[in-house]
Amino acid sequence: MSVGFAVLLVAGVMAVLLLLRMPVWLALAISGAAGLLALRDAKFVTSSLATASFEQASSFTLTIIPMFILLGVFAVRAKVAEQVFTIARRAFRNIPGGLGISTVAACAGFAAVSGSSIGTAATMSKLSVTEMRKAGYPTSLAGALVAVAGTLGAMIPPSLFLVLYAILSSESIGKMLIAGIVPGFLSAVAYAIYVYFRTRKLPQIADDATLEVGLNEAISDSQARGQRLRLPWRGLIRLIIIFVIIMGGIYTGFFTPTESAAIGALAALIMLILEYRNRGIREITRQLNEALKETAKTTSMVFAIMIGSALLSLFFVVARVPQMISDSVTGLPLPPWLIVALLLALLLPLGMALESISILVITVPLIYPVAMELGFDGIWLGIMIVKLIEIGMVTPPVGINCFVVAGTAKIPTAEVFKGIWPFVLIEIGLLVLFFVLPDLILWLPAVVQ
Amino acid sequence: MTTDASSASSRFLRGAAQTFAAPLGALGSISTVAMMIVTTIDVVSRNLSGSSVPGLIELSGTLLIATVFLGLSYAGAANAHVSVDLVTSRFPVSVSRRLAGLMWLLGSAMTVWFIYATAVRALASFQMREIATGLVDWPLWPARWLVVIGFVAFLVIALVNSFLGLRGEPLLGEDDEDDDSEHPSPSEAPPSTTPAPAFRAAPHGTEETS
Repeated sequence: MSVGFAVLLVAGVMAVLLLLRMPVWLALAISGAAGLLALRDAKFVTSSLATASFEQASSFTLTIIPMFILLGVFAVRAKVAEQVFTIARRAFRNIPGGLGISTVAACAGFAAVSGSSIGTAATMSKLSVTEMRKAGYPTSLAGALVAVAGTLGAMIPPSLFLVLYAILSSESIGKMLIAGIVPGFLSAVAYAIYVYFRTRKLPQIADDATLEVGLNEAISDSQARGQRLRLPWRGLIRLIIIFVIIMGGIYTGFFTPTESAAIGALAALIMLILEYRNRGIREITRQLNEALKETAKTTSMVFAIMIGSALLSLFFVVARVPQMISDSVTGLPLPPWLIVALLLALLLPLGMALESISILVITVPLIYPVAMELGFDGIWLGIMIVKLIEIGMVTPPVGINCFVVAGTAKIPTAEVFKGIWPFVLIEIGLLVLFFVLPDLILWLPAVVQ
Repeated sequence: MTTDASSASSRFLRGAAQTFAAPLGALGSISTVAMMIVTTIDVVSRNLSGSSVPGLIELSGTLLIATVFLGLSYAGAANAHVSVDLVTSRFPVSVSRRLAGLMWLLGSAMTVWFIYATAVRALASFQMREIATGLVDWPLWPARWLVVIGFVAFLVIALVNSFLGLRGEPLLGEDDEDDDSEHPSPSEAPPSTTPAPAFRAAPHGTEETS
């Protein structure tokens, strides 16, 4: 069978299986195996199945993935998000849009202990969407803000997406994680500035706002303005401890990224136990049990996708697809920056149709070699790709964060999508900024030991 | 909670599948905790005594295998494997479920191929007493058999899902009530409170997913 036909076959099989709701990892594995079978023989495919299964899940370096998942799960249950939000509310209480800015700050803070954007969005939507609506924020703004600020979880380390990109591209995991700090921070600042200007004219945000929220640890506006409120500083301290363990370890070279993830998870476990120490051993055991079950499911799901993508990637290599793309695009009478920009732009429609991890595992083996051939930096490319995936997570029809916020906060999904477009414009503006000024991303990882 | 239309055989299969997968998930969870402890011990040892504990890095690799593959069936039974329902959510429920059943049947066939491939490799590894050479000689064949066990367990779940789906019934985990909705999962899938939207890239999972 010709290579061209095999590529078409694989693309067709993958598209059909994905759209007919086959689990993503099986769809990737079947399409990859079908392509390999078309170009080689059954013996080669059988051997590849065994190799991919074992190699994708037996390396010490890869233990960073379950450790980051475990860390995030423990941090959620240790109520770090609630506590950081409470402190942020107090800090920004006198600023117009303070509630929205607090939400962004809490999302950024929680992102620093959680590698998941959905986890961040789900946690924060419970805390802040209702409160923002009661304070007069349009539902569309309140929902969209949490959805988009939740994507900070995918950028600010520890980030599963950055780790997966580093593994797929063989870039340094430590440098990749460090590289996410500045873009994540700038994104948070950009969202906050937008909220400031957008909510300045809202008359409903008044001093006498009397608000209630559903969670004990969160506070109302009137409480936030009170002077005698006891703030849960332990949340901020815990956040700083975990962030210092992870980033400090990587930055100084004291720990490897994998080791820092394990130690961070252990620290988060201790924090969870401390948080529930007054509620008895039974409650602690229940929290641990639930946390570990979540971790086991998520870890298996992520690695299964990696196994499926390994087969697909092997097909790409055997069929020389990256070389074909590279030869095609480098031959175009276009400057390299435009070629890479066009390749990256393809991720936008993909993000509107596919689940985020799938986009990463399918596109990185194709785009990365081309960008390297054209002389671009792999760390910079990773940030750009993850940023584009973030946009896919909030744009219809499959903007997963919007559905999470809508479901958790009990607001219409259409409202969240309605409010998302200004943030998408901000995201695109940030992308252009990072594209034009790559040193914004690269200066920090350049100083990592 | 199963639907009224569920037959006794479906209910039995659901219960059996959950009972079968839960202990494997628990073992996977224990492996995760062990991984965390082992890695921490290694760091402490390296910084106190100047050297790693022999075998701990290799042990971590084996524990990762246990976490991933023992959890594979648990994730399947909890409906946590991500899928895209961009198209099928537009179909009538009965059609959508039967399509899902068909996809799981196809997935079962692929899993059989995985089982064959990994079993052949595990057998060869066992016969040659395959080891990884590092600070210690670490046997690899137990981990290779764990992979086989994980795929076999997943096949059971895949077949149950095929059966349920082809009968037009909810897949495993689709009808679970979220018993712990206070804490959203930090993974990349929506929580159980997420309503079924017109379009979404969703995990099958009700509790979670990056």
